[in-house]
Amino acid sequence: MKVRIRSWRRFCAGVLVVAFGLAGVYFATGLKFGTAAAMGPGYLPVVCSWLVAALGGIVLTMALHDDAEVIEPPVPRPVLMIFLSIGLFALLIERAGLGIAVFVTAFVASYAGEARLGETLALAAAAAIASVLIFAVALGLPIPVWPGTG
Amino acid sequence: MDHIVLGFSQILSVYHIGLCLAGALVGTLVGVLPGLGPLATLAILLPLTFGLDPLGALLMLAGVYYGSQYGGSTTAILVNLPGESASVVTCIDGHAMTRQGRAGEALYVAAIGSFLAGCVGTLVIALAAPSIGTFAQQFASPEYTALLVFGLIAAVVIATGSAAEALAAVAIGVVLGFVGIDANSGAERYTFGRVELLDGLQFVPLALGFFGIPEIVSNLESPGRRSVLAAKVGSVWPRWDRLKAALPAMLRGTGLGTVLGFLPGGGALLSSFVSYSVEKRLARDPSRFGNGAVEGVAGPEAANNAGAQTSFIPLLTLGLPSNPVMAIMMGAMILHGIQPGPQVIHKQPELFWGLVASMWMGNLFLLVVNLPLIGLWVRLLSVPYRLLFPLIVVIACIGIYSVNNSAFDVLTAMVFGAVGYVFFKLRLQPAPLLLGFIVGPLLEQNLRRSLVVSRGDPTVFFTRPISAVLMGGAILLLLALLLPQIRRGREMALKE
Repeated sequence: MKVRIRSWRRFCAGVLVVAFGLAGVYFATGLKFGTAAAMGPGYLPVVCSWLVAALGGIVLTMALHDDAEVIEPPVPRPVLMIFLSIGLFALLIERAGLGIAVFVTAFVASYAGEARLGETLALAAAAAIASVLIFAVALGLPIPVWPGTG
Repeated sequence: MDHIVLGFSQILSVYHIGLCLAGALVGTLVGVLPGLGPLATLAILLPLTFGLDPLGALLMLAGVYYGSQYGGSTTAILVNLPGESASVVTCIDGHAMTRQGRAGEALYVAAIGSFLAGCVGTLVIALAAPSIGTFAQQFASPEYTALLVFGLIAAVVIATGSAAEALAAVAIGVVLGFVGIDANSGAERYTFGRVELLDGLQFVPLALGFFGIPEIVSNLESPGRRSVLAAKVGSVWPRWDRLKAALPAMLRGTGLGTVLGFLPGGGALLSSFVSYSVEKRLARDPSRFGNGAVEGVAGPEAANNAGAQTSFIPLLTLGLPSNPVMAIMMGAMILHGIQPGPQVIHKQPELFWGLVASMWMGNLFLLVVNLPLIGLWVRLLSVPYRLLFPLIVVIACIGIYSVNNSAFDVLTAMVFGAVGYVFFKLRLQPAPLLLGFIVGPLLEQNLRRSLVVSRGDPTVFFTRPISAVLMGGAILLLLALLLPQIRRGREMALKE
């Protein structure tokens, strides 16, 4: 029998789901399983992860019957810049404080789209000042504002 | 009646009215922005309610929800961009009306229809919720387990595209809900030795990762989609003769939405689609639809608001979130220390009735505040997206951080954002995953308790009448998926 994948979207989705299920089983193996009447901490994680893998298997078989579906290729710039900007916020917030973190995040995020340098600098500065005023001063959230205060 | 009075007495303070108004305005503001639907809006604004008392936070979130829906229909009518999936059908005739210079009429018909539906929906909640809550109080853990299983399966079967993928997403969500310390044994599950994970995955980074971040990235990937307002808006001052033509459709939409909102998987989206096809079928001249038929705006807009309203009922009375928006509401309630369920009405009546009263209030604000502000929202549509999205990213980051003052949470959001983006690319539905995640811990607790009591005998779910009916329903739904005719019919219905 010849197996031909008709829908690559389904196929990738199925692989992803199966992989998640198997990982779930694998990382729960160290936990006590128990019995139905006295479930250990690992009972439901293992059972549910197998269920995930099984459902992923069904999705995989559907990839053989469905009509071709295309996956639109990702556009690198927005993807990279948005995730980079969020990661930078996580890195900077406690080390450099709110003002600098917001400035950098807004600046880097802008380059996910069609940014213009002057405008972007102004936007990032305005965002930094506004967020310090709104979140730290007006709302009084306990967020580190300046470097070294975190 | 006493209850309604109690509700209004809770929220008739400058503070609470202000919160509800602020929520409605901010919700509209974000809802008008292209590509950010109610889910993303709620996820982004949820952390900002943390400093508030529980009632205040829920008031504000309810306001945000209605506001973002309203904002979604505004962009649908004016620039043919559905801000959210429930207003996809509003685009068809609403934007056609705009091209004919009747945008003002479409806007006030939508607003008045929504208000009417909101009033009825609120009334239905006030009347129906207490008795459902009382009924649900006889539920023990087997009934709860069955209810949650039924709710999850029904939500998936009714509302989403591919059932196998959606069920897989639910199961993934349930597994993600296992992360952290097991309450029964104290064992660490899926924590990989990280202290930050002992309390489990946080709801806010997860919700934002799956709903906020992928939406922003995908908007940036296809920048050409935004169009500008071409025609005149016209007067937004209602004219009686025009309203009279739309009134029957509004009432039908309200009725439909009220009923469909009860269903797991129902709510705003389903209601608006069903209402549109009903209006089209009832019309004497169906060819008007698509060319600016006022019923095509009035019906679905009323229906989606009524559905949005009554979908609070399963959440508030049973603790069952029937759609992803309600899952976010449930997440918000849990973060504020409220476990939604039948006990809320009895133990915290001021919270419950305050929320009901605020729903009505939120709808009123949308009518009397937002309609006059339409000029402002139109101008907002002309702000370039390149200036808006960096601010959205910043607000989201600050919001996530401020929940627990945890940079780890921001990193979590980034990781889930990446997973959410892959889901988006593969057209996997993130909504069932969120439902599974939020319901998972409850399901585990009740399932384990049921089986302890029955000494491991699974027939406990089928020997108690209520739980047997629910389990039977869930099994029937799953079997129905296997029947080819039903499957085809369902695909047709979802496509329409």
